[in-house]
Amino acid sequence: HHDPTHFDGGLSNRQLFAVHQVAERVEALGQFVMKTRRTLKGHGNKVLCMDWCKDKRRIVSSSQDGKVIVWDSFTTNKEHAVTMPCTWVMACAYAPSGCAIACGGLDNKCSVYPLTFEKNENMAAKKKSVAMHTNYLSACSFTNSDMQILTASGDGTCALWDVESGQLLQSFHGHGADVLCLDLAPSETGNTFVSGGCDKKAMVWDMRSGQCVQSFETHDSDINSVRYYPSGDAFASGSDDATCRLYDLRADREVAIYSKESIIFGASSVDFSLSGRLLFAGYNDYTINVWDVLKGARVSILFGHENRVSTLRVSPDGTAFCSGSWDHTLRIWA
Amino acid sequence: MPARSVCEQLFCVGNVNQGNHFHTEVMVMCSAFVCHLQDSGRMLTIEDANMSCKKVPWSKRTEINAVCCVFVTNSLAVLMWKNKMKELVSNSTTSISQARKAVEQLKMEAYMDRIKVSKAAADLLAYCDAHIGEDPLIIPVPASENPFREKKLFCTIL
Repeated sequence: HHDPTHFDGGLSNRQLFAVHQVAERVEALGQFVMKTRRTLKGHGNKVLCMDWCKDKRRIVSSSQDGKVIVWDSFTTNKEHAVTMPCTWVMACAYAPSGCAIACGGLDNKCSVYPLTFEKNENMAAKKKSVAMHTNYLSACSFTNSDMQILTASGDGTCALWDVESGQLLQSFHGHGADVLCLDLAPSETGNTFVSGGCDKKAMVWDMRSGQCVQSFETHDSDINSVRYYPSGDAFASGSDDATCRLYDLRADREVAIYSKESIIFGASSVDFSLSGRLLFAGYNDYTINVWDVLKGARVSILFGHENRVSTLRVSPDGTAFCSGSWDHTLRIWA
Repeated sequence: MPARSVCEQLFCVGNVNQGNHFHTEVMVMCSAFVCHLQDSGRMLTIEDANMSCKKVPWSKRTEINAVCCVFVTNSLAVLMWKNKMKELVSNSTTSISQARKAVEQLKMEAYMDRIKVSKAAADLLAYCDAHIGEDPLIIPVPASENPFREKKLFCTIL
């Protein structure tokens, strides 16, 4: 039975067959030099979420004090800022067109703000409330267009909404507790998304029917982050049980576990590099661990943040990744 | 580590559904206990909460911050919520219909066509192999092409 005072470093007997066994012949990766290239300062409190714009340059971030800021990551300038009426803005997302952002949190809603470049822009005035949940909003993402938003909530459900009308298009029931994260499948592979929750389950959903098509329950604690492998055939998860895991969708099982005895704090956020060879994971012990996805080994540990890392995303062209932290800053690493 | 900085790392909100009202409560632990946990390096559990927490109304949280520790862990907040829900929901009909739904779902999932892990892993490897050359975080592009890398005045492109 699980003893919370003992961490076995992931050497469980459940792992009958793993990717690293197949990847023995694969060349090991060389030394990595990844440094903080930009630090985005301006939030007055914990950064909770961030997202990249498709232009590979702009970033939206949200924080505990209700502020949502759009940054130019090249220059570190703030381009837009809006204060939400609630605190703990746990989710934010950039629209595919780059012309709007979505955010929400303890207000139980997901709101869309169009971005303009008017001189005296009043973002708050143009706010549109799209999603309504009965508990906090934990994650949101636009689908392939600006017209639909997918949300995850502490009320245990996910939902798909039409932005223009605010209408609920589909709801996804099945998690036994708060849903904490979601990720859409890369567009080539069709209309599915994966969600992770406090019930330790990761569930894959068909967006059209609302059905859960696959579920995975091997984590020992809340799943804080899920992210698809670039090919769409697998996804990674980061959990409070201090491990990250890789699940293959066609094999329908866990195929790798990324853990070390020395890592005892939860992983809050994960993302893959462009080729899928590297998995970047932000942890509650303030560090970012870089894992070799195929070999299962850690290739690098990145220090810099002065509080827990809460959010992490690789840029759309893979040239850098951005991490946000409870230390009020965001860092761009390359 | 001073009790204050431990507090800042930990902060918890529990939403408890009591009838039609949602109460938001703050879990408070005495600072000494929190520091002890921090030192021993283990995660907070539901037993810890039951042992040493007391709930206070959300409206009083600013007073609490000054005096005690306020802690957070997502899993703890939800564990408390689930425990509360168990007390309130003891309807046997609900659990039967939930069990039925679970069985239907499992039946559906059981009919899925699965491939072998060796094949799945081989495909993941193949994808990596095919794209690793274009991965700027593995094979770095010259500094002049990566907008985030520092631009030196004189640089040689090897």
